[in-house]
Order: sequence, then C-alpha cells, then structure tokens
Amino acid sequence: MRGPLYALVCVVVPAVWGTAMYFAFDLWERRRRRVAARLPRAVDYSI
Amino acid sequence: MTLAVDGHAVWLPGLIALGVVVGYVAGMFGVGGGFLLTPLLTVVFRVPIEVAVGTGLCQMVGTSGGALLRHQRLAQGEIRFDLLIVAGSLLGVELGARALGALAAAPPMVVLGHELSAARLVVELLYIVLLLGAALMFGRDRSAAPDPFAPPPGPLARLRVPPLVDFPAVPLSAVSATVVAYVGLGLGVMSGLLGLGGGIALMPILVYGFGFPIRQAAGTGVAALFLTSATGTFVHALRGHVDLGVAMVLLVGATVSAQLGAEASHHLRTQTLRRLFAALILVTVLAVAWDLARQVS
Repeated sequence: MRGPLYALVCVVVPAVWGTAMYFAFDLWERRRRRVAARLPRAVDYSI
Repeated sequence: MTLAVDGHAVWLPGLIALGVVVGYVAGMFGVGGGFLLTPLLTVVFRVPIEVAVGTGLCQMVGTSGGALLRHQRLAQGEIRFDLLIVAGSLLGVELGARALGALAAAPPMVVLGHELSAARLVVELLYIVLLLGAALMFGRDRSAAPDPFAPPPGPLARLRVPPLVDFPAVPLSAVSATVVAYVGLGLGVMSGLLGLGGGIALMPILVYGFGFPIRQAAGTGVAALFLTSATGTFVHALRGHVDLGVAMVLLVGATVSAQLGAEASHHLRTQTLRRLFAALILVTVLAVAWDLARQVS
C-alpha cells in the first residue's frame, strides 16, 4: 500500500510531462511553418 | 543497465525501446497503446501483471493528456458525453482494480499440473478474447461502413432508457444517459483490470454503437481515456501497483515516437492502416498465447 501523495504524484508527473511535450511540439511545428513560409517560392520552369 | 521493478530486474534499454515502439504505434493508429504495453511488460520483461497494468495506465496519463490538448484546440469532442462516461468509469476502475488485487492475492491456480498466478491467467485469457474480437473487427472489409462525416445514429443511441440528453456537438439527440454511464462502467472495469485505456473498445462503440463521426469520436474518446487512465493510475498507485520510474522511461520514448507515428500514418491508406493494426493485435495475441502455453508446458 502507498500513500495518497504518491498516488497523486503518479497522476500529476506524467500529466505535466504530456502537457509540456504538447507545447514543445506545438512550438517546433510553428517554427517549422514560419521557416517554410520565409523560403523563396520555387521557380516554375514549366511552359 | 537494469531497473528494479517489484523485486525484478528490468533491462533499461529494452524498456526504452518498448516505449518508443508503443508510442509509434499509438501515434500511427490513434490509440493509447495499452493493449500492447501491458502484455509486453508481463511477457517480455516479467513485470508482475498488476504492476504492468498500473504502470501502463500511468504512462497513458501522459500520452492521452497531450492528445487531449490537441483535440481541444481543434474543438473536437463532446464534453457532456465524456462527463457521463466518466461517471460510470470512476466506479468501474475501482471495481477492476479491486478484482485485480483480489486475483493477485489469491492462491495459484493449478492448470494441467502446473501452478499459475490467478491474476496472470485471468488477465491473459481476457486479453486473448478481447484482442481477437478487436482484430476481427478492424481487419474486416469496411466497404459498407457508415458515412464518416454524418453517420446515422447507432443502435446504442436508439435505446430510450431515461434520462435522455442531447449532444449537439456530435450531433445526436435524445440519447440515454444511463446507457452512456454503463458504457463508462464497462470501460472503467476494463481499464482497472486489464490496463486498457479504451482505444480498442471505446472508438468502435462511439462510431458503430452511437454513430459518432470519426473526428468527434477521436476527440471524445481521448478525453474519456485521459480521465479514466488518471483515475486508474490513482487507485492502482494506492495499492502499490504503479512504478513511476518505469512509466516515465516509457513515456519519454513514447511522446517523441508518437509524433513520428502520426506523421507516418499520413502516408498510408486507411485500409492499409486497418490491416496493419489488425496484424499488430494478432501478434500481441500470439505473444500472450505463447506465454500461457509456456507456463503450462
């Protein structure tokens, strides 16, 4: 048997990790889109 | 490089690899991965079944928490449905955890002259039955599947047991709150007893049982998954069935590889994904069946 504090930590720690990872990947995705938007448009050589 | 889990030494690189594989599968197929994690922790790493169930649920709190935020941002899901599901699943998780605790404390069962842990025997047999059913359902050709954007109300949505509630986000009207709560109860028992988050069972129930459009089902399912796995983790941790270190090792690998899995799923056809998923479930069934056969031979 474990105490309620340990049980609470077992819920909070992975939840905080999941939330942090969500924001980290969101930030990375936004940065990737911003960089892609700044790239010069490809030249269309088709006739 | 080992980690002590309930007196058993678990090989750390193998554990990291398991987290990566489960995360990739979860990201690719949009499920929690509990159906893969709990049996493999027991069969491959020899973690006691009750600890595998509790630790698997703990890892799922992290993966489903991130997925829940993503679905909330996309405004997918019906929160009232989730609340009704959770009303049942809170009770179900406690019942499932108590049943698993009782099985773990029970004397070993004798099968074909060999002593087997009652908890491991019951959980592995239930896994084989449930996963075989899921593999058959996912592997079936769905050419006559309901319209993914506006399906008709399913058989569970037509049951008229009062009180009746409307779910405008889906949209579904006059759905029995009692039926939804009982679905939650079943989901909770499955979660507490087997460590399944519900992706295997809840998604088909929402889509084919109630008639949810796929996107709304995914958003609704992930909220119920998060709340159920959080409750399951809490009740299992109180019984000493959660190893936070193992859960975090699994979670770190899983959160990164889930992004890669989700990316890979965009390059595959829906039918191919379904067949791959069914094949993966069958491999898990074979692993569990092999483990049972090994114990009685």
